[in-house]
Amino acid sequence: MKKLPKTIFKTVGITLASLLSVIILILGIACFLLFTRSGLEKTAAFALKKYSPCHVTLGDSKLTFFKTFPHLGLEIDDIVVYNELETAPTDTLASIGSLVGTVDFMELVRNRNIVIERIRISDIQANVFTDSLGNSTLDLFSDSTDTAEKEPFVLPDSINTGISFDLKEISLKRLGASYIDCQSGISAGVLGANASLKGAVDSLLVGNLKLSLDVDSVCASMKDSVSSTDAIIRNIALGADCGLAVPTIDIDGKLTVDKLGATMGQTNAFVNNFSLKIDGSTDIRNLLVDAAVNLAMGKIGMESDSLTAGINGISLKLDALTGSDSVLTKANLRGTTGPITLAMPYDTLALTTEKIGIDAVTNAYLAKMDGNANIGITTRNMSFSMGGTPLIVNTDTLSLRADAAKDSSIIKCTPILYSRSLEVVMDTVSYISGWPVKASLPLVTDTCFNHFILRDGKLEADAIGIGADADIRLTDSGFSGQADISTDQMSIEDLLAMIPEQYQSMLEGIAAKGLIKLGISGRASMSDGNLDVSRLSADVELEDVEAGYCDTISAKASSLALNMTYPGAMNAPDYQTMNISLKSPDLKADMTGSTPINARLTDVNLDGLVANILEGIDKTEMLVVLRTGNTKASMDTIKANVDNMALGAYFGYTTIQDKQMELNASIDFDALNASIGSMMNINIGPTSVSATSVIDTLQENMLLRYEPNLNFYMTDTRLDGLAVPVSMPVLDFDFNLVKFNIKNSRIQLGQSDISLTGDLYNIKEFLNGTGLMTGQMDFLSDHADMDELLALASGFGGGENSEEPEQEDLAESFALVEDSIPANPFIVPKGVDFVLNTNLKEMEMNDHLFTNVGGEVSIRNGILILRELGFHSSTGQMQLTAIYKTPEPDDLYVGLDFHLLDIEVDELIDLIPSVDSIVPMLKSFTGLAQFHLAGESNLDGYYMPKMPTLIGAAGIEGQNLVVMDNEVFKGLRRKLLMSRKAEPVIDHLDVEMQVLRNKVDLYPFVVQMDRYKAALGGRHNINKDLDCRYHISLLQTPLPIRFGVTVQGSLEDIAAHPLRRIKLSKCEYGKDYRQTKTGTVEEHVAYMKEVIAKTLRENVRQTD
Amino acid sequence: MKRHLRHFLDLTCLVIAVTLLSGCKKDEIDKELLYGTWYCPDLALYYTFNEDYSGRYYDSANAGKSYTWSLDDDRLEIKAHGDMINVVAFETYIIESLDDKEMKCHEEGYSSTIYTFTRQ
Repeated sequence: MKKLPKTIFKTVGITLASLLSVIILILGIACFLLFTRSGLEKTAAFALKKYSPCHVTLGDSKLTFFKTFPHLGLEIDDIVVYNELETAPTDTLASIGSLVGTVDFMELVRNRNIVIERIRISDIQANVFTDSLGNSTLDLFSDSTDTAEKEPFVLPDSINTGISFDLKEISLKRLGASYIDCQSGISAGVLGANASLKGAVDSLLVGNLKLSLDVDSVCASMKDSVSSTDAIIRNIALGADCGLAVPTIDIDGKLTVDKLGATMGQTNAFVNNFSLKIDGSTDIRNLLVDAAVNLAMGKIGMESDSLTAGINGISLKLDALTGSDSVLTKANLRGTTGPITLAMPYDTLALTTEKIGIDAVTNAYLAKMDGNANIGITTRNMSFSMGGTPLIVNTDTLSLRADAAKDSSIIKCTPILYSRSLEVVMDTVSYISGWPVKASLPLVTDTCFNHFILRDGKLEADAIGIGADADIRLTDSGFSGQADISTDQMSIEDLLAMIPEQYQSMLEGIAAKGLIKLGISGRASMSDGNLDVSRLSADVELEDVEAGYCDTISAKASSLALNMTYPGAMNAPDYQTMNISLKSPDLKADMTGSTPINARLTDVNLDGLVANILEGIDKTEMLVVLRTGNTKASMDTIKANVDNMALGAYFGYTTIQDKQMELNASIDFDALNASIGSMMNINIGPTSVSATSVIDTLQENMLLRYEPNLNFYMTDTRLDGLAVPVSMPVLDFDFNLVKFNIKNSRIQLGQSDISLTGDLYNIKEFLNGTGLMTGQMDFLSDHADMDELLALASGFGGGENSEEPEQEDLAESFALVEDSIPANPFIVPKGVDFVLNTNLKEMEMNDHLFTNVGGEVSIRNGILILRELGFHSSTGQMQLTAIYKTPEPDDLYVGLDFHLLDIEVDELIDLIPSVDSIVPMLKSFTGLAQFHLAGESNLDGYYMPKMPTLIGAAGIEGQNLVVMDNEVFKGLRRKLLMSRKAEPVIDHLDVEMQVLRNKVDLYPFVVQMDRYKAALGGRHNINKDLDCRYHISLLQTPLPIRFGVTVQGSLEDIAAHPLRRIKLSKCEYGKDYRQTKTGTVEEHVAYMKEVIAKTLRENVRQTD
Repeated sequence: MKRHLRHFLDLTCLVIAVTLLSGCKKDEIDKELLYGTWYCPDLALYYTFNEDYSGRYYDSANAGKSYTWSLDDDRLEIKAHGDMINVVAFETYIIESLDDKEMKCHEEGYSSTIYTFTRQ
């Protein structure tokens, strides 16, 4: 756009300059010839031959009187100036068809003074040519200069006379010229030029001149290897009236051009009806210039494939007054343009405006080009549209007012742009509708326009107020600088109201109010098209902000400040980071509904760091730390209160394992209090938890997929509201797939305290199936109240109101369970070698205190073993070995070996109440007993025994068991017809029983005291009816009678019909304990009892 | 003399009684007939008796227990033992008849229920 007119004027200027040079040359020759005496022709020929710097030929030369009546004139025809330049297309530099000059003959005769009055030249053709080597047909003038210096031109004495001017007319008619410069690719031509200068100017340069010039056309072109520019100017008319009266000169002139056109590549530019009128005067002595310039242009246009621009007329008026010392005291510029259109079809960009008015007042010191100006530009009905995304900007009135000043090398300008109503429409949606817009951009720059400084720039648009500061330096390859943009405090409601109506539906249900203020600050540079942002900071400040959605979710904050800063604190040349912070003294969030959720946060401080966000998600890292002074949250009946909480989170992709996401999270707080309803309350003291996870999406196992690394430290935890108070003084463990280390864990459950410490190793290898997970832990307790713990566990399992199912429903329940619930037994993991050492210094159970309860729980090769778990009580000791293995989910195995040694009978019954059912008279005894139990069975997935595999045995041994109190016994001894030496003591008790498949056999055993002796035995079937048959034979009494009692039938039937199922019968056991029906059975029974008892005793571990 | 005669008669009666009682003794059961696997539909179990007095009973799902056995006249004693726990339990049968294909017996002390085993 700018290059084209410059090129045109440059080309036209060169052409005109060349033309002017030729005209001056011709005039000089003509004048030289004019002032000869009578032998003008000879003199001219002689002079031309001797002194002319070029080759000149003359045609006819004659004096004429009639053509110049009443003056004498000299007419020379066919003057040709030529230069023999071989590369030139023609050797004619200039030719003149006719040259007529008139002089004051009387003055010449009388005073030998040549007074030139008129010069008329016609049919002029000038050719200037420069070849590609720079040789020009004009070079002859430089040669002639040298010649002239060597031999100065001196008129012969015969023609040495005075010269003065009394010009009346100089006219040029039918002037044509061509200019070709092969070196620069410029060619130009002038056709049909006529010029005349009329008036009266004396030798003192006093007079009036009237200049008129008209040219049919001027054409010029400039071509090089990459571009081509053609320009043509048609019908140029220049007229001027000059009043010369030294020291002042008055000029009143007018230049008109019908059409000025230029073609550059595929771009055509034109100006129609160009008119320039100058009216001014110059006081040469005082160096004063007073000029008025009126510029008017018709239609100005430019057309190309990618751009169409047009201004339908420009009218400018410039009044300028310069003082002495080159001071422009005042210049006023006023003007208007017609409608302006600008269209870029490819980019579908269009700009139209009805008219632009210009009003400028300038004061300047022209010598230094310093000064100031007040410029105003107004336009109306301006419309801007972009078709790609149909963006239309309309304004009814747009005014620009600018104060500008240049002082030495500094230029200051404060433009103020104002629009009473601005409308922005995009895709038929009105985004800005009739907003008043005002912009003030105080700008300071240098005279090279390399450095721009914007201070206190402001933009006000409806409810939006924006301030801006900038400092930008232009460089050879781009720019560098910084900018700060901030808004005034604005109402969020007003901003939301400014959202177009078409999008208001998207805000349905959303409510927000408060005040918002934004600020953006940045420093950036661009070099060779590469943008480098070295600093960027954004601030958002909110006050009294409230937001809600559909009256169900609401958030509120008295103030909230968000800041984003680039680069972040951890920035490095190859590690771009950005800091994010959010601060608020209080934040409230509520969600209503069936489960209301409320949160109250005070002293909220969020700090974040984002790294490599522009490098792609796979290189982005994010670190966020949220700190709150106090956090209160509630959900339904759950309430929590946290003091001094710090939440941390990290997201990124680890560099250790390519392309794997890494997540870190941590939580720290000083105190947490939570309550569930009015009953349960949890208090936690200082706590620190941090977790790291490297996500491997190729893994299916959750632990391998997330590969967690957890550090957990929690102290002073207390749980109230359960059946017993629960406290956990400390829980400290580290977990990762290499090692699970429980450093310290202590829990106080009512009267019990429990501690678990130890390590697990090779978890990852175990999960991968490539290695064995090993470990050892210690389960310690100073005191454990098992009754309390079991009650607590029962409480966890069901409510107080849970009803025990009826016995008769059990079978159906089991059937239903098996039908409806898939089997999900605990599977002992394979590939594990783990040992849990237990040591309970005191264990309280059923009002008994056991000491040194300890043993080893191990998992090896898919087998869980409780090995030699034992204890000591005040009266005995326990030994337990249990085995559980799970080769298949539907084929489990459980084995048990249990011993209670030297234990009081009542204590045994307390510990194992079912013993009383098997041996009913046992609770009548006091004394030490031994209890042995061993058994095993395979189970199905529901832990139900597979009956063919069920085997077990139990034994109870007692010596000298006291039946009752001695005093009571003495009272009964006589009534029971016992001997005087009788003691309430059972000498020996030896009970053995076995379980084999679905049969429970109680081997006959004898109880004897003084003159009484009884034997008891029987069988119980484990089937649907649980039927049994037991028999008691009273073998010996003081009376001569013996009888037995037989109980037979199902348990249900016995309970329902005891008289029918419990009958007196004959003794089935012999007097000396021999079964009566088979001779050797008692021996077999004795043998089997002995084998069973011996086997059971073998399992007893000998203790010190 | 009369006293000697009485002693003689007593002795004669004793010899006759002993002779008669000895005739009541059942035929001794050939334990080799037990070798092999038997199936009892009432118990739904297979019993295997090996020559080394070991054996195993099991159901159709092959769930069962190993045992050692002994045969004393008609009394078959089976002593099952645990796989991992040192525990034993007995079951004893009185064999009423045994041949190559079938065995009838009852539990010792429970003669009312006769079990029939068929050789597999």
